[in-house]
Amino acid sequence: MANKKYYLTKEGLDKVKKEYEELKKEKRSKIKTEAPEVFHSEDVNPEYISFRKDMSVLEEKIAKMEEVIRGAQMIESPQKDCKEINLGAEITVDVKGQEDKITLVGTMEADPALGKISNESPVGKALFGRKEGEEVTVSSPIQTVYKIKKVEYPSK
Amino acid sequence: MKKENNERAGVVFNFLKEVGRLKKMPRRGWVINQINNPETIAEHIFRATAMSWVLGKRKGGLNQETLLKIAITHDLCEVYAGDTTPYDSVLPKDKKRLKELMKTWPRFSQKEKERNSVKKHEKEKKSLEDLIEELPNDFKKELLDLWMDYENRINPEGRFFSQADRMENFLQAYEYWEYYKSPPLEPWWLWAREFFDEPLLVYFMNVLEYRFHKKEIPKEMKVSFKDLEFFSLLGKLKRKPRREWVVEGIEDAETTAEHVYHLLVLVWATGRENKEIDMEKAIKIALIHDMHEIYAPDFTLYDAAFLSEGEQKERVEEIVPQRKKPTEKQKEKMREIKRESEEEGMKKAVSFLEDDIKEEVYGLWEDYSKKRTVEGDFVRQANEVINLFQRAKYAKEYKEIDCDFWLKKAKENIKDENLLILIEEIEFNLKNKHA
Repeated sequence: MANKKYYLTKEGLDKVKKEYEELKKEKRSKIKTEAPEVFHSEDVNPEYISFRKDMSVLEEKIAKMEEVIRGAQMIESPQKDCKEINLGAEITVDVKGQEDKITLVGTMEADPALGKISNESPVGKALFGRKEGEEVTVSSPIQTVYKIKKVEYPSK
Repeated sequence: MKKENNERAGVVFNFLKEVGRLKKMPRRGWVINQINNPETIAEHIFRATAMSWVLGKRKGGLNQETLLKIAITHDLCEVYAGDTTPYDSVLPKDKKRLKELMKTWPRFSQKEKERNSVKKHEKEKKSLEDLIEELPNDFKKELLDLWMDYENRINPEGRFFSQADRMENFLQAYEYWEYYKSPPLEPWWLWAREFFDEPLLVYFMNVLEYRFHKKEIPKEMKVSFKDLEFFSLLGKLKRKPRREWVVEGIEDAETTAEHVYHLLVLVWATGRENKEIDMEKAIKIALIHDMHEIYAPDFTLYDAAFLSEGEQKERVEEIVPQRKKPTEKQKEKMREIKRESEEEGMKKAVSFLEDDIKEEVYGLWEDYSKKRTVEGDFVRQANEVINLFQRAKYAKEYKEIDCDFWLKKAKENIKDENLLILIEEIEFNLKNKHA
């Protein structure tokens, strides 16, 4: 199976790497401080089972972070004057007479409360590849028109 | 050692007491939409937890225990911080203007978005930290880590639940809309199409559309459609007052969904000390232990005293003034009737589920009803303790409520050491009204 790709900005990838390092640190500390005595013996007791379970949750989390880091695809900003919507684009839209600024990001960085809309959301998918000046209709069950007023890419 | 145990029980007692506030807090989004008798935060958590289980299983690849724990934890921060909505900073006082506002989706400048987001996060984090301050360090860390998983959405379980949580909200919006023709749906769709991006939940969004806009269900949606029907059924346990309290004459009695939520917290907070308990299993059992009530009558001990022909007295006022305790023979008869009707109710409730989940849910319910596993037995005991806890709370407000009989019964039935210590704490609090 091909590895899943995770589209991330540099800041997004840094955040994932930080989380990954913290999880690894936690694992090391857990082994050092919480491993029951029986860890070194053949006996199986509830404390040991519980410890193993905690460890496997932690290892699972670490493995999932590793998967993201392995599949990370850095979002490359296109030329500054590009007017087509790609990942990383900051888009000024008019929705029902209200202006809003949204940034198109990958799923890992999506945070709609901050205006970061995922490229896998219905609106993100509809806007992707469209250009400044166009109108995009998202329908079903209620029709909404997104007027694309401006497409910008932050300078690095 | 005794002193240490008492302190520990005192901490759990206070935690339960504070968390219990969520059973009295209506969800703010419905309040500003002027929905009559809206769900509470505890009721929302109950169904969001159940939905995360079923939908999480459909998605696959997620750690179920982590997912369920995130669900139980995610709104604990609202005990002190309260519930917030995106409309809060622009709310007009005038009711007419408020109604107009609710037809739109508020848009903010980037600065306002960042300010609101940081303010909300800081307020909620502080609230959670205050709530869990006295808990043992390892439990405190676990709760905070899980809440941060939900807030940061970096881990798959946190990311998935943050959307499953909102799907519960969206479903509730549709259920109110179907009943009250409110809230207006347009802002919900404006938000939802920007918010959901998890493929399974985007798909589920379409299922909602088909269900509530009465479109013909395409064949491939049938499975998810059955899940949706199941979630709607679970919704019936919200706002369903528990008969045990109704017959005592308690106004605005705790609902089944709220009771389940409180039990979930107790099971986790005390069960974690017993290393033989599989916590994922125990949480799931607590979550579904009363599911038969969707269809089966919620029998009380008082009903047994009236049970000669196997009928449940419908009129509460016939029971309340007498408060007759049943004889042993009546109790036996009651157990038999209860068992049969609950089994029937449960079978009907799970019939909406697909075979894989149906088997799991029914099996766990039998673990509970037949006390056939360590977890089933533990949750059964915890259920008795949380009922006693709630009874003691009501006894402070309604002086005529009897606790002695139930306290004695609990002392006889409970075997788990941590739960027994908690019972002592409940008793202590009952005797010391100022505590």
